[in-house]
Amino acid sequence: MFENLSIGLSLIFSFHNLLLIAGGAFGGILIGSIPGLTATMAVALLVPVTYGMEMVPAIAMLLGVYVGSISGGFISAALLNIPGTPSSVATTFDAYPMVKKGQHEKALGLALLASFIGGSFSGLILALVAPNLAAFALKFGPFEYFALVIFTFSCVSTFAKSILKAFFAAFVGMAISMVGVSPIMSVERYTFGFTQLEGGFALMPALIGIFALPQIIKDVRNTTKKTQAVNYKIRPLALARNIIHLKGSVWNMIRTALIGTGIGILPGVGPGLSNIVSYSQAKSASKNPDEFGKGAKDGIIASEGANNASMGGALVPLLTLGIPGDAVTLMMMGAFMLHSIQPGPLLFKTDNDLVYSIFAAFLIACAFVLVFQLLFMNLYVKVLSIPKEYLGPVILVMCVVGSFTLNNRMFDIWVFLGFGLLGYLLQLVKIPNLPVILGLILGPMAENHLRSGLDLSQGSLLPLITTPIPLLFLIGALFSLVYPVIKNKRLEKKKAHLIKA
Amino acid sequence: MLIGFIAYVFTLGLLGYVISTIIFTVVSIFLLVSEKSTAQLVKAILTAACSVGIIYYVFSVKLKVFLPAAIWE
Repeated sequence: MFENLSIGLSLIFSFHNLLLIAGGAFGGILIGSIPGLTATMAVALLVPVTYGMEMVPAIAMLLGVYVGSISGGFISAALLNIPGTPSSVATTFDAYPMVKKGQHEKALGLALLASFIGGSFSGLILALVAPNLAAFALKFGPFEYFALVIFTFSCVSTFAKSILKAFFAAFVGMAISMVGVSPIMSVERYTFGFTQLEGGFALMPALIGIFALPQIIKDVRNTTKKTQAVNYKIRPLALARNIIHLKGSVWNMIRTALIGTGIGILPGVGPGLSNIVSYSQAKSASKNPDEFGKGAKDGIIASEGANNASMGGALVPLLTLGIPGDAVTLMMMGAFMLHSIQPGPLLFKTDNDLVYSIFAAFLIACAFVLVFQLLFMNLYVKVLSIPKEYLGPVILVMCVVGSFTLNNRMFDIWVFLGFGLLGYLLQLVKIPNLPVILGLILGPMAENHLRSGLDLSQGSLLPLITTPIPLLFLIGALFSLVYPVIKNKRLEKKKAHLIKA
Repeated sequence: MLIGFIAYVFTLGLLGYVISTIIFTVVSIFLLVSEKSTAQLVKAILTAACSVGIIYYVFSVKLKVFLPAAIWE
């Protein structure tokens, strides 16, 4: 592993690549710190810029943005009580009360150190686990992949608020993915005579539209609330000195990093959930649970360590199986495809150097983010005062330009608008948009593998339950669907019992 | 905002990137700000000009990619 990692580092260690990672990390923190501008949007805005670049610098820069934007979410969470990204929701519980006590440097310092440790830990786990998992995944046949896609959909649906709504969204995505020429028979489907639809919908405009447009519209609607003026003086040394506060929290940090990485590895689930799970675990394991919610340092460490640890975890299924771990890695997958690279176990055979340079870039991005947050925290705090009514239209323009430049055709702008409106409608009826995009990406994969599998088995679906790996995935899928229902029923019974008592 | 954006997408193919983007950005910023004044209008025009210029420079000059052109171009 270390030999390969050193090759990856040597590939990344050029002035040009380091500058791109640094620029990505710096910009990522800026975007992540602004409430409403998520890591997904940050990566979405940058993907079109990487179009003309080579693969390694492009992915390196996107990784810088990814790490920076997830980490930057804690700044507004701590200072304004508004999480910059959904992954920093639990950070508000303790960081904001700590800031209110006048300990803003301690809150920010603990958050940035925990972010760095969580991120770096998950980067090392990624480098350790991914090659072995990829070697194992090479044994996968078509039925294994088909069952894996089913498992992914069930995971995403389990963690959504409504399983039915999530499944409906996934089916919508799969239905949209069928537009164009079919993969095996080469028959046109749902093109209605439009030549632009023969290749299906371009992925990136669809991704940018469904994630960015509804978010911007939502943010702009909230502009009636005046942007809060933020005025804190932060000294870099005072931030760094908080390392002494981590001394008594070693076990919390280890548990946090493990929870974050573990949740990140689950397909379709990312930092948005890990920070809350890790926070509640830290609270239940703490000797002083009453301090949580009043400015406990372990609460900040648990939330920020876990959401950053999820990033490395989310890259594991993307690189080894070609299954995105969360919304941001979904965007990264779009970037891979844009550069004609198919993530999956074969990537470790055909492009081993690229894979290890990704690992190296991830670790370097974590280091850059730490340094930038230590040195430029005052600047990031100032960014919080930028009014949304100025940002919204400019970001929309960037999304439109990004969608257009990928293929230089107006049709992609219409795709962006169409998917944006779809995302907006889904938001109105409270249907999650992540399963739609997963359906769009994984739909062709499921179809291809199922049809190849059926060809091999002469039309029999039995290999799905007679071979161990697909059976395991299907049992996992069934369990993840049934477990929340049983859990909810138990909770209802408990509640009814308590009310009676 | 949403209606304005849809109108912007329609005009993009007709007026091209520069003109339609400046109009969209200025109008939407000015309509979104809570206190409407001449100073806010000037700020909106400056923001629009800067963002349009920067995006044009990055994509068209540096990355050498096309941006939507007007029908007379």
